[in-house]
Amino acid sequence: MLKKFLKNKVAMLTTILIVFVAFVGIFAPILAPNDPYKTDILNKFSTFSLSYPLGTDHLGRCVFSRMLYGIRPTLGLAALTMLGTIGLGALMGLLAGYFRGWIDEIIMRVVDVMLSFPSQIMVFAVVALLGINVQNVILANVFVKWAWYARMIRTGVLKYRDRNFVLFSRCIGNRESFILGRHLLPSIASEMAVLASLDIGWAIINISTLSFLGLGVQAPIPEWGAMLNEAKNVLTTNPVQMLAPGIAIVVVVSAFHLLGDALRDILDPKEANL
Amino acid sequence: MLELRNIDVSFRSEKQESIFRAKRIQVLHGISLEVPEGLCLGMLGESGSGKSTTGRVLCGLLKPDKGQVLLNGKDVYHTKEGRKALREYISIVFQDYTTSANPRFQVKDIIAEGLQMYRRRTGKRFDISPEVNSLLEQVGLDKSFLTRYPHELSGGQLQRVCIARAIGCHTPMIVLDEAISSLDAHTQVQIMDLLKELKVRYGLTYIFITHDLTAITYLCDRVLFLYQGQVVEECCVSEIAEVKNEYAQKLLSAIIDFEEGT
Repeated sequence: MLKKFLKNKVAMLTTILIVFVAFVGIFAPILAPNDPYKTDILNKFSTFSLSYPLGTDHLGRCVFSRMLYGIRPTLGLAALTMLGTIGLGALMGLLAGYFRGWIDEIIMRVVDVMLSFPSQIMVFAVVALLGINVQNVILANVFVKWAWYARMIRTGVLKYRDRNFVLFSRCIGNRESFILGRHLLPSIASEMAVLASLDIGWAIINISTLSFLGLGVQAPIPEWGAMLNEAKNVLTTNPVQMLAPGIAIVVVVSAFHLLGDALRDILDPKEANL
Repeated sequence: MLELRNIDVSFRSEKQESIFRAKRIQVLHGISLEVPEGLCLGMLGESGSGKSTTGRVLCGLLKPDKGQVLLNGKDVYHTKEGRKALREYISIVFQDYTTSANPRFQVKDIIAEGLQMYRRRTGKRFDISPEVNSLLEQVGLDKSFLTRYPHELSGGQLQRVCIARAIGCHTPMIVLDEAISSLDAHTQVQIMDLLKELKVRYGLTYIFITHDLTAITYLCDRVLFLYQGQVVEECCVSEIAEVKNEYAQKLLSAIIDFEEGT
């Protein structure tokens, strides 16, 4: 598995890029040339220079530093969202798929209800209801997205629950936790990894969208969506300002999507069994 | 002693004509049988006759619509103690060896699963890995197989691993659901000899489900004929030529004709 991963160029490149971005985010205080919050109104809209590699914004803050600091909320919140979604979705999907019966009925009807709402509107509704706040953005995203995962994972579990190795475990009366944790979860893990890497891009865009609309991360904190929002206000006077956060989002989201595609190729059982 | 009394099983039909009343297809009609300890009971029948379904009812994986499964007089499906007792009493080897082992487990993990259950059940303290080695040896495989994955084994080898796993549970009864049917003739004989040997060593009871008459005569003491979900004949293997039921006679003569013809 690892060998195939190392051999796949797309997977390697995107992983390196993502890990690199994550490290840059973690070490932003060391790498950033300027304080991302320090305003210098006299120096606004300055062009690229050594002290301000990507220029300054409408308040004279260093765009490059803000972009580096922006990795933290953007990537971190997206990862947190995915963790919550997959955790909740996997739990519900496993319960529904393995135990069937009335548990399955209840969970799946709730999932049907959740999926019948357009997700973006639901996110707005939940955020509006709970108040504008970073935690609430994550909560809203998890709340909207878990149903989708629950259904995917339930399908995966259904595929494996009647395999003979699960039947054997049930026949000799092994614990449910062993069957769920050692047999079923690893079997569907590869499918989940693909889904997650594809969807983390969705989470990044969604959080950035909310910040762009002013519902997510709030003003002085550097977040790519919020930076775009600020750049939008000065679109005519300083169009260069929107390039840095915009390109950053596109690159990172594309990297996750490509990684998802590559993972799907790597984990394809038809190729894995050769 | 394990006993089935008037078992009825039906499945929901794939083709439903009405939304509200689910149409069901009955596959087992009043199956009754007894499995005394120390015996090897063969179950013979064509495909679709309900052999494997009966096997599933026997090992507690499928709750029958009607009838009782009794283990030493205790009802298996309706009492908690009965269910627990059955789990400690029975183990299974499947036909399809490609799915009977978790593809992500190594051979040692596959065999260890049965042993872990035995250890938990009895509360005995012992090291799992030497036991795995000895089980592997008993089914005629050496230590180099320990760290292999199922897809790195041949069918016969993997079936041996599955038998080792079933033996490792230390249950008095093993259900062999077409356990040798998907192997080639030479390997079949090897596995059957192995089963015979293990039966004597551990004093096991077998329920041997198959469509292969020669395998039954080779291994079993008693034989049941199943036809369209019913037990049509039961007799000792030594008296197999004297069956009275029409279907059983037909089945026998068909197989004998076929063998003579070739």
